[in-house]
Amino acid sequence: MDCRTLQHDLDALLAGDHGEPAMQQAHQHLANCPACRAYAADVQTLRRALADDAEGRMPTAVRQRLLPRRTPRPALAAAAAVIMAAGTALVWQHLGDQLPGATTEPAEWTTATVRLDLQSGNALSDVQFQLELPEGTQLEGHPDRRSLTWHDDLAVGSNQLTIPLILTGEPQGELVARLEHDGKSRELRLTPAEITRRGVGNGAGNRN
Amino acid sequence: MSKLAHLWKRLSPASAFEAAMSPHMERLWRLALRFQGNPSDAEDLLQELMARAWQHRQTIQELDAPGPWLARVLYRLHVDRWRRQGGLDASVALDDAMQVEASLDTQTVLDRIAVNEVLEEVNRLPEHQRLVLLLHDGEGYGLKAISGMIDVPTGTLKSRLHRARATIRHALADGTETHTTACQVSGGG
Repeated sequence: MDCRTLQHDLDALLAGDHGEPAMQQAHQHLANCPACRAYAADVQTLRRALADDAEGRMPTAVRQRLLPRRTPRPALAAAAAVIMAAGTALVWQHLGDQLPGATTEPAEWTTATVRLDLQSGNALSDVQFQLELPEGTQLEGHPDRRSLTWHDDLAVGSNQLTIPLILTGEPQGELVARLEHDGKSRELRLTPAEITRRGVGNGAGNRN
Repeated sequence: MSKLAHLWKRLSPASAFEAAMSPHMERLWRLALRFQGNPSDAEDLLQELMARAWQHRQTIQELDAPGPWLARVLYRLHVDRWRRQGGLDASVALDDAMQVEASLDTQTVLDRIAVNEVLEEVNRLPEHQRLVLLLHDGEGYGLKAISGMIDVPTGTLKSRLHRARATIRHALADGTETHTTACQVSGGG
């Protein structure tokens, strides 16, 4: 491997995109070539300079103009610390109180509102939430989705996640709520019985 | 005091849209700022993006990872603005076919230079080189993702990236002592 090849294709070679042998050759070349080591070190310095560019942070005023409903953000929940640090307790609670059913039209289904209380020791930003629904349930407004993923922040302390469900039948499995942040994840599972306990408003008609 | 978070349906369409956009705003802001070069134009560009994204809000809310889609639209809006302002230079990419010789300087350069000077040098790069450098080294996009974003082959992007890095090193090394050596490495080519 020559210097031009290494410098031209540095990222792909070191990432193993050209295979293990090529990656080993690249490392061997770097170990023996001061010019390519200097080049690679400068690439790292350049990346840090670009990443640390403080002026690149979005001013709050701009964020307010672009996302007026999200500034300050209604923090969602949960236990981030959980996710982040060992020794930080994350407490998940299923709140038993039921919310009024949201539907007014006659229906054969039942509405159920599941509320999860997520305790977090730290504030975390951009936490990924994933919801997986068992057969026999629908997320209100998303009749065809068995899973839903979104991002939000978690505040310190108690955060509540409200999940509006429509029970079209007996749930055929567990409802899974999963949080991921910084490579770590936390799961909460609700059994069919725990889901249906939150059902309200049994309807008598047909859903149209 | 507990705070409630609701899923999409419990949110108004505007709130659901903002909830979907929110995680991407910091990165989009940095991109817009780097494309446009100043906060005022960057905000204008982002407002254009928000208007375009609102038209496609259903798509955005259904994508598992809408970041690349948003970045691609942002880039195209940037190019549109650039063209409207007469800034598009058709000759910018004529150096794509030229090979960049390997650097033989054995001394690092950038660790002796202040960050703001490095960033100033980045801003002096030709637009096609600056763009791939910002997206790859600044924002962490892979060349394949950038290729999909700006419709340029990955091989071309690789050359532009290498040329951008080499240009910055060369420019900032001027006036400093340099040490060069012919590469003596063997074994493997």
